[in-house]
Amino acid sequence: MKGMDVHVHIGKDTIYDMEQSAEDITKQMEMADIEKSVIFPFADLISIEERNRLVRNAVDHYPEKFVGMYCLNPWDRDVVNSIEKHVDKSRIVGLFLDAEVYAINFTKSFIQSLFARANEHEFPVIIHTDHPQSRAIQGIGTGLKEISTKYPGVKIIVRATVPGVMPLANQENVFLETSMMTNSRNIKVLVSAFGARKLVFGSGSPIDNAYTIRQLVEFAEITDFEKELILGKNLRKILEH
Amino acid sequence: MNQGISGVRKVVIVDAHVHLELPVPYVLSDLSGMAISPEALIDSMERYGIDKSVLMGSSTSAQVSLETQEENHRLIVEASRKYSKKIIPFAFINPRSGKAGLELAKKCFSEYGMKGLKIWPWADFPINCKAVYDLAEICREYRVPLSVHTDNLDPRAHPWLIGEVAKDFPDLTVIAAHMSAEVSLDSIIVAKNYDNVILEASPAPPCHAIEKAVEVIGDSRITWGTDWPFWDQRLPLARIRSLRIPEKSKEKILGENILRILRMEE
Repeated sequence: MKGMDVHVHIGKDTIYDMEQSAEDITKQMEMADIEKSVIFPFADLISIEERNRLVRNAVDHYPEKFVGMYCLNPWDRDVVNSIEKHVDKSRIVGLFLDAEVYAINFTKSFIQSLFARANEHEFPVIIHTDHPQSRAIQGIGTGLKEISTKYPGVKIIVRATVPGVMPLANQENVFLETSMMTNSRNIKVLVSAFGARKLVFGSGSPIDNAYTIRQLVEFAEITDFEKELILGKNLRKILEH
Repeated sequence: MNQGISGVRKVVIVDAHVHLELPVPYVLSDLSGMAISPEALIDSMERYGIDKSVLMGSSTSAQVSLETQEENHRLIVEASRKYSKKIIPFAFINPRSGKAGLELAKKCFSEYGMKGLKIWPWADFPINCKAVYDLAEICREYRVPLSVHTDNLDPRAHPWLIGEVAKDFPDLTVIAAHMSAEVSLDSIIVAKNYDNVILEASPAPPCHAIEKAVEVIGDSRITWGTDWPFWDQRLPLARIRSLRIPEKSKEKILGENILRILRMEE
């Protein structure tokens, strides 16, 4: 079946020396039988406008293959009002928040104001983190539980491997994605615990490739129907807002 | 052996990292419910086209007592003798075992014909402590590699400490098992600095990290493994095959390198 990938970076990460173009991504999608990918930049303190422009250009060029997420720096002054300007529900469909790069504390009121605005428009929000031991993301579970309860119109997507977030799948509007997972058995565990409707396929590309992470799902001892949900149907529904 | 078309060179697939545990309840905590017999391993290897596996004991056996370590090694030896074409035996010794552990290491290499030694710093020892150096000395004497679990979660297992051992034992091959897991770039730096360090891409360092390792240190000092039975052997194999590196490099990583390191080239 054709899949959908919720976690793909475009552009360049100078710190970890990774880079991929729209064409690199489409090649990977073909190899992994992915029909649509959610793309966003590598978060950084500089050139964020340029990085977001790269996303928009790629979506404009490949509207059938990509939808974009608007990467924002929550510390920017006019960030809340910038949301409507950049998110349009058709091509740039939601927000991308990097909890580590911007040291986001989800219990702070100014962060919650972002979610309040996303809630008004029912924009989905992807929460991004890399290192499982990062001090910047300690307490993320508590903060996101509060936010997901307070703003039920926001569908939140977060890596399943982030410490403390798994129980959040019990929240109606929180979904776990598969990037950085390494063992198919854990897919089965998550499906048993929360149901297949709470998992979405994310490759984390380019740190991993879509083909490998798709295999992670394909090899899991779950039903074909559950695989279909994880590999695409769930994300399609999330994005139909 | 993977069958090739007649006249075409065959690619040998060697899983450099699998475990076997004692079949007794008190050391089964991590492997509960898993099929862990040698036959289950052989079945998995045949199903996924893996020609050989490097088989070692388990961390739990190594932490219970010297007796469980000895028993675990006997199990490994039995399996390697029964499936001599498919199983390559490795020792797995807790450096906290004192002189008895050193004697066990010697017995593993001289009597059991084991091809290397694995250690696991989560049993509360840093990689560069004296007890590890004592075992490293024996590995050097028997010309077998020392394989060290590495990751970035426990400072005792950090790959930088492997650099210390590699520096102090320049003629010893040191394997950075798991390439320090999800965050592997530190391992690559260490391997760049020390030619006697091998990066073992097991079971799941990110694809980008393995590709980076090939770019930085070349394709001759990288191996792969699965950490079976904790991991299904399929996914790590699919990961290596999906890498954006030359096919020849994949062949080296998938089998040629570990056979050369263990001096088992056919």
